[in-house]
Amino acid sequence: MKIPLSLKITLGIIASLLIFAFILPYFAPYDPRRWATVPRDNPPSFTYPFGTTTVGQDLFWLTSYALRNSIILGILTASISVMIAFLLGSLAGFVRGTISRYALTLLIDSFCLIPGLPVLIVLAYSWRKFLSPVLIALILSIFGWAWPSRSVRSLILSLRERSFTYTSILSGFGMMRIFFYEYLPYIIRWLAVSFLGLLNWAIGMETTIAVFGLSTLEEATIGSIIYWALQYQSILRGIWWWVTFPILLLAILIVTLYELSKIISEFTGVK
Amino acid sequence: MKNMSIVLKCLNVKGGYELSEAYIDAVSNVSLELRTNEIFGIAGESGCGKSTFIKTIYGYIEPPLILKDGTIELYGRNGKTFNISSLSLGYLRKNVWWKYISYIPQNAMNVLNPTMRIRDHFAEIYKEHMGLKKRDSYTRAQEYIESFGLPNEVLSAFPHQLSGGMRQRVVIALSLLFEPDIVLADEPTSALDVINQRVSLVFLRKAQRKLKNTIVVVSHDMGVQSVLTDRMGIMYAGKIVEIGETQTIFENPLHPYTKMLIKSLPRLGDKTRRVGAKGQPPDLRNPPPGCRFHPRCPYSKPICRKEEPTLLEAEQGHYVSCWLME
Amino acid sequence: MSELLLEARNLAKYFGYGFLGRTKFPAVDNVSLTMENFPKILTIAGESGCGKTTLARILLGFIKPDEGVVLYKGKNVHKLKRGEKKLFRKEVQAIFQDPYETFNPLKKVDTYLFGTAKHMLGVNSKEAFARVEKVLEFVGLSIKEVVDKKPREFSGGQLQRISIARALLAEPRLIIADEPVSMIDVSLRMNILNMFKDLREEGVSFIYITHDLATAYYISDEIAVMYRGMIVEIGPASEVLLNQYHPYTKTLVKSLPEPGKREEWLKEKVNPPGIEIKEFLVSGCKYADICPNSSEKCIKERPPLFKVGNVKVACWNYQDQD
Repeated sequence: MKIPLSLKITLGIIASLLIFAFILPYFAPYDPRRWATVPRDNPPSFTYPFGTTTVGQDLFWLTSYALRNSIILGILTASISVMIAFLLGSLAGFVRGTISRYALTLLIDSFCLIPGLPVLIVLAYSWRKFLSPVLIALILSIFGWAWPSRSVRSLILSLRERSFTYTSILSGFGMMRIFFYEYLPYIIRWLAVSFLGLLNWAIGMETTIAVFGLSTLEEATIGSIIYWALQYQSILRGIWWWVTFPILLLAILIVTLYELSKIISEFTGVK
Repeated sequence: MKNMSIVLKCLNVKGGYELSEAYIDAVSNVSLELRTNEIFGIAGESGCGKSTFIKTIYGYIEPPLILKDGTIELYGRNGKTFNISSLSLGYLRKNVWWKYISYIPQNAMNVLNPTMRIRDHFAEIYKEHMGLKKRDSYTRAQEYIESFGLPNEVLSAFPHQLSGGMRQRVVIALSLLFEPDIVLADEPTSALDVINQRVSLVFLRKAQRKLKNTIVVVSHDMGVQSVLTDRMGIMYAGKIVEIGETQTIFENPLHPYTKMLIKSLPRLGDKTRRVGAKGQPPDLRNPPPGCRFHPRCPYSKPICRKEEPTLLEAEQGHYVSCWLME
Repeated sequence: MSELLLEARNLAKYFGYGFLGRTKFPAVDNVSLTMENFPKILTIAGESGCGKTTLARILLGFIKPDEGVVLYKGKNVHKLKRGEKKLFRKEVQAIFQDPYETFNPLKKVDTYLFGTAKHMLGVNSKEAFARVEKVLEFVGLSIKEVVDKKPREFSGGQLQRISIARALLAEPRLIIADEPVSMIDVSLRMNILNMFKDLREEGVSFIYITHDLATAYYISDEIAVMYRGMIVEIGPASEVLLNQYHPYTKTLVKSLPEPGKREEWLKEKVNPPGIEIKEFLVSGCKYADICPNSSEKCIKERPPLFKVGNVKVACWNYQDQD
């Protein structure tokens, strides 16, 4: 099967970003988070490819650390959300009793409608003393599962109307077997696309609340870098690289993940 | 029979789909002549190449569809001749389509723009081909619609507000707007129920009798062919196997495939056992050698497996491509 | 022990449309049918949108009717005990219109064949293989060309025959076939319909759902004509189609294009059906609006089925003949 050029390029970029985020940190000559390890406010140069920050950090290595944390956080959120979406969505799609059906649908729909960002800000603020990438991931997961659950539920409801479901029943197969054998391939394809979308969403969300200072301040994330950059008024002072490189890398990551999810959905015929 | 002037001449047309794994030989050396003032039917089952053939006549050749060989010449009423096989899409779009030849694709009624009212469909076409302003278009459209016996309200409606049958009649009316010499209709009523089908086809036939132009109706439904068309051609696996007047073909089918198609038609009031064909139509990526029907033909001879028969005139106006006839 | 294999009593199913789906229209409206214990081919004929597919799903027990009941050997299909339900699924099988949807596009087709053999017949793998081989032979396919393949690897005609084979494997007493040949090439249709005729000789009943009256005539014993969710005429196939008591039946038959009918087909004036949804909602006869013989009574009151010889017709014009 021919691999289209777009897929090759997308995978190439993602691979580079992953190397940058996960492999490179092992080669860091110093702990990039510590302040005053390098001369301050140096613009990008050969020695410091991304420049240095006002508190004396090497932005290149710092960004690599931060990207790793952001990605891990994103993966954690996406995984938890996808698992919950799978369980709740499947349950909602199959449950028979009218009351349980209404209850589950109400639950899922409410979480879809509750505005996520304000609640997340409140939670992050309340627990700001304990915030770590893992805790943030958990908090984000509280809302991440809602829309995917809804989609899994509609996916299952529509699968139940298709002729091959009837054929299965007429062939003597029970609903359990139909779920795992007939429906699962469809659900998994959908969840794969959804996973990438959630990954993007989580990273973006974390960055957003971090810019408000509501993220982890010990560990570096893309958002926290931007936070500190703004705190030190880097743009006003002309230290443009402090904000630019993290944002640039974030943008590249999000766009390529999005492209990847588009390619996957085209390939599998999922919307 | 009627005034026998030719409006379209297809000579040795070879076309198909160039895919990465294979070439699909959908139109294999087809030669055909269409006359003015007739309804010509092209019959055949799925995969026989009739839709592809219609597209090549129209000149709508876009990859993966390619025209490998052959000529298609259109002789317009005012004496203008167009060599469709060698004209570019751009030229055709500007000068030939809608004016000299129209095309109604399958499921055309779903091709209407759902966000535009019917009168705006007219306006768009009038603007593109005659540079008319909206108000003039609307007036013209109204007269035009009325001349077809369609209600005025149709113009102010959106496509989804009309029934399927009404939509199809609108599409037919649109295709006849500039009184083209040829109208190509690909399965014009396959999505309609039997009653709406009749209304639409009677409508089409009335229009043709008034304009005295040529309409080509592609349909797998032999019943539709028998009541609507004057002459017809039967296609099988990319080849034309029989051409003749519809009545003659139904009374005296010569090609074994035609015979089988007609014999397997169920008729109301007749419960005698019908027999279909054995096997199935060939894969056009790898068609059988010789006559393409030979694997399923109950009368095949050794020569049928080796050489392809040619289309010969068996009786006046009745052509067959079969070794049994030679 | 009931006399009837399958019975539908006054079935109705409503679907919502419009704003929030609040307006309800009956896709199936007061439909009653019987399938006796002797083999019979009953055709339910009508145009698309007349409710026939919904009716099929209700008869198969896949959808619950809003009104009325479907009885399998006298018992409500939605209230069957486990063992009875299993027998119901075995004895009442189905064939669907689109063979490519009948099977999961992502899975191999033979899983359904072997599944049916094992679950419906209760045989072991070896015996199942033999049975599958035999039934595939019956429909004209060899087991070698069927195993290990996904739906896309077959032509429409082949796949539909596999679908029929699967239904036959269960040794059913009744097969509900929803437009089984409309997606098949014309030259291959007859082979499948002849197969149905032969199976009826061997004791299998069919409910054949179609819009094609010509094939309906060809294979049916009995025919029910549906219009907008209602049965407007029902009786022996030849009597219904040749006498055409109900105006709708008459229009349907006259609209059939057939060789030799050219003159009349082109000449007669036909009133095409109007806006569908409106007709579904009227309280009187649903056909009254376009019927050439309608009267005041037709518009106000819905006619019941009147007997005219062996045929039942829902038309006020036949009231006195009952």
